[in-house]
Amino acid sequence: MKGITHFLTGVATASCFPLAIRTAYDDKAYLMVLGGVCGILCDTLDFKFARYFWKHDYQIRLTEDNLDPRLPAEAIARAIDEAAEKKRPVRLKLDTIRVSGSYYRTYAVQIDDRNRTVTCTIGPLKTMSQSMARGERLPSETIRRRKIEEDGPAAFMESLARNLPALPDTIPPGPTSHVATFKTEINNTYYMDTEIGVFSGPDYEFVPEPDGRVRVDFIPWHRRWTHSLTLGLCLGPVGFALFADWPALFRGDLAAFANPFAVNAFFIAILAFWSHVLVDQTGFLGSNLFPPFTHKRTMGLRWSTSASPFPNQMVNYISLCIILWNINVFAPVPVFTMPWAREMTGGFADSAYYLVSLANYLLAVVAVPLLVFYWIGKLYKRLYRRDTQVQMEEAFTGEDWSGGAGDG
Amino acid sequence: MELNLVLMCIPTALLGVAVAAVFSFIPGLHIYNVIAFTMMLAFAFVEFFAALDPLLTTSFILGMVVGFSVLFTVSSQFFQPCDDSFRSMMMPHERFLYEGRGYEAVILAGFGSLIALVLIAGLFPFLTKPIGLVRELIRPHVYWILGLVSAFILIGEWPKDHGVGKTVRQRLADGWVQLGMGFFTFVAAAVLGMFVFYNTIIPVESAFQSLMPVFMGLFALPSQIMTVITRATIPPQHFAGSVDAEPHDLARGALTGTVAGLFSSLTPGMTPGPALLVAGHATASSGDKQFIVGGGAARVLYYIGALVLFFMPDVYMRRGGAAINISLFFVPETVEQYLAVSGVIALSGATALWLLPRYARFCARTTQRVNYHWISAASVLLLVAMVLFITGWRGLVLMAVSTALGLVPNFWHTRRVPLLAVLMVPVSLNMAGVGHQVAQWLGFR
Repeated sequence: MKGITHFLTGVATASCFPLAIRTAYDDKAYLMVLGGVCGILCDTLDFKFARYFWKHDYQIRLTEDNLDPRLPAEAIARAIDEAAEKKRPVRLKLDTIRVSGSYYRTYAVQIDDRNRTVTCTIGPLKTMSQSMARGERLPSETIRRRKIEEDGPAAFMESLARNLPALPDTIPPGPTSHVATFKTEINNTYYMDTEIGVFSGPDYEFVPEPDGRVRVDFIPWHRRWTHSLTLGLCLGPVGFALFADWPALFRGDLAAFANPFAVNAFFIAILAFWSHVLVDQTGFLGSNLFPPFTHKRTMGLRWSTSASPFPNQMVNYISLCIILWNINVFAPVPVFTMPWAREMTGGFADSAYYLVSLANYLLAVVAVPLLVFYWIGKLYKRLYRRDTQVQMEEAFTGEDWSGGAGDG
Repeated sequence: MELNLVLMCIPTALLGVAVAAVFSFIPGLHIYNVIAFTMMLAFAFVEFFAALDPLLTTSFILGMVVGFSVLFTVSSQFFQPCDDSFRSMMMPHERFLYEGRGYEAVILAGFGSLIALVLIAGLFPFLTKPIGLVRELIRPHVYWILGLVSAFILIGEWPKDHGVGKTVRQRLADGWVQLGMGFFTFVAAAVLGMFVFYNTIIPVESAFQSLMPVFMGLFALPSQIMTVITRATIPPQHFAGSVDAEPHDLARGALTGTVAGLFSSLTPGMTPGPALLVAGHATASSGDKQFIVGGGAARVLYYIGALVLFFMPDVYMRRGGAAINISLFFVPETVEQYLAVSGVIALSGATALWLLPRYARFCARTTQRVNYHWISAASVLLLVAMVLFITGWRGLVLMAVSTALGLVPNFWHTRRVPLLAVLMVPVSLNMAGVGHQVAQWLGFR
């Protein structure tokens, strides 16, 4: 899931603690912020720290003086075979080619599990501002897959290099592609080409599996110890320490030291962190849940990819609904009353009143809007996007990739 | 309400749109600064303005805000090309300019503005109760909401390093230089904000514009200075007869902009930038077109939506510079007034949207006749003169410090959004009731 989704699930988790809401009417502590921060912390640790400590067996670096496509292609092929032969994971990183403060050189690689080949193509120079990034200009995955299969990865990647935006006439002369072969059967989850661009190049880990195949893992440093339930437990004391009254400890007043805010922060930190781990299990890649007792990343439930819009929007909306519900329920005087509970007495402290209101809220505010939104999206895809997808495939030429058909 | 008065509001509002159109030509100028001038004029000719019905002056200001919120990005779209060497990320509208599609970007943003105007003038009158309810619901919680956004700004920035360091230390340093400068920008802006809120050096008689030099320095001047030193050529612009956008791009862009606009208009201390950042992530917005459409909708909902809340029955929320200035002479009391205001907004909005393509073509052609460096240089001079005129030399000093800080993101390739800590942090701390202690700790009290 996206960062904001984890952030909001963390906040929603914190909002389930009455003190986190009621403090807004009294002491005004930032317990909700703690929930948000702990909710996104897993990815923060990975992308801002863990990745820098990751050790590689091979680090491949091309320079402008040596733009030989054989180097990355052969290195990847050799690393795959080495993982199978030595029966140990082999880690490899492809470095970016930074030419100056303003320009970088692109190159692309593709690992083909069917033909057991690795193809590398040297591309043109691009500017640092990412105004020439491939992004939206790339054809759809369906088209790319078909083109790779029909024309071969080298021809396809050379075609992309020629036709996508770049500094003109900067593709090096001579052969720009090389195809290396490997012997081992691999389990490759990503068939597409990968462009090595301006920011940190791709990391690979080739992991031998019990069936003799080698699994290709991307960003292998991601979702290991940082995405574990164990680390979440360690975060509790941190949350406690942030809200504890330290001067009271030195006065010997333990009750004031372990004040209700600190106790709540202890649990908010743990549960908000766990909410991230839990939500991540819905994707393709799970995580290593109990290090140091477990060592491998599990597979996810494969319900959606992390970048899929609707699952992210849905989780965000549900989080927002939870927050608003709790804000109302835990307020000294609730702002709104659900229609089904209007005739009832007792308020939210009464369990019958609470459950009836909640059922009404879930139906009217959560379920119905989400279903409407979902069906509009589905209907739109069925009526409109199916046709446009066909048109795109038929009209797919180099000119389209270059964004030349700008204003239609 | 008399029909004559309602009819008189129309030309007055259109005059406001015309004034906004003229001032929108100056990149970096903010409509609240123009409103400040208007208020100074109103104070100077108090007898004349006192004779007018307050609704007329209100309509004039409404026209200005509506016209400005639709038109003010057009000049920066065409007159502020981005220099690659200063940036790690080119914004979508800047990319469109380089592709000769600046006009298309304006029209896309205009579509977002249209959606927002329809919401404000057409839908808001039926939603006064729910909006009032949401406002009531979040009112005690604004301090932590601002805290959340601040935390997300800090924690949501990811390293943009090249990842080629040989040692762990080198790699960490590469990644953390840009992140660290983002943190520095945030903290420095927050300290500056605390200073301005608790110990400002602006003369008392200009106190109503005490934030003006800071905002000019943090945002307007650095943009203009960077444009002056930019070495880039603006290509001839193409005036497309239609817009290349899929319906889902328009719908999702409008959704993002609506969420951002409502969020920023209902939350004191929030501005469209961070709101759009959060909303863009939350609605999983993707692509250049969605970003541009969302920006157009968010800006209109923020400027006009926030102002409308001041007139809205069940809400009557004074939010933003325009509402504060209007509140000096006008007290909203009736539903009729609110409906009249909605009508004025609809009319001004329609006029501004009618002007938009013409205005964009005019600005695009200007780039081929007048060197954009001169436009930005003139804008710098004008902004400095304006700050000097309104806030005196002390304002200039404050603006100079702010400008130095505002230039940091340009030179260290960080985002500009941490600069908004200047507003969010002091407001959040004040609402949490600890602003005084923090100001004391910083030596500002």
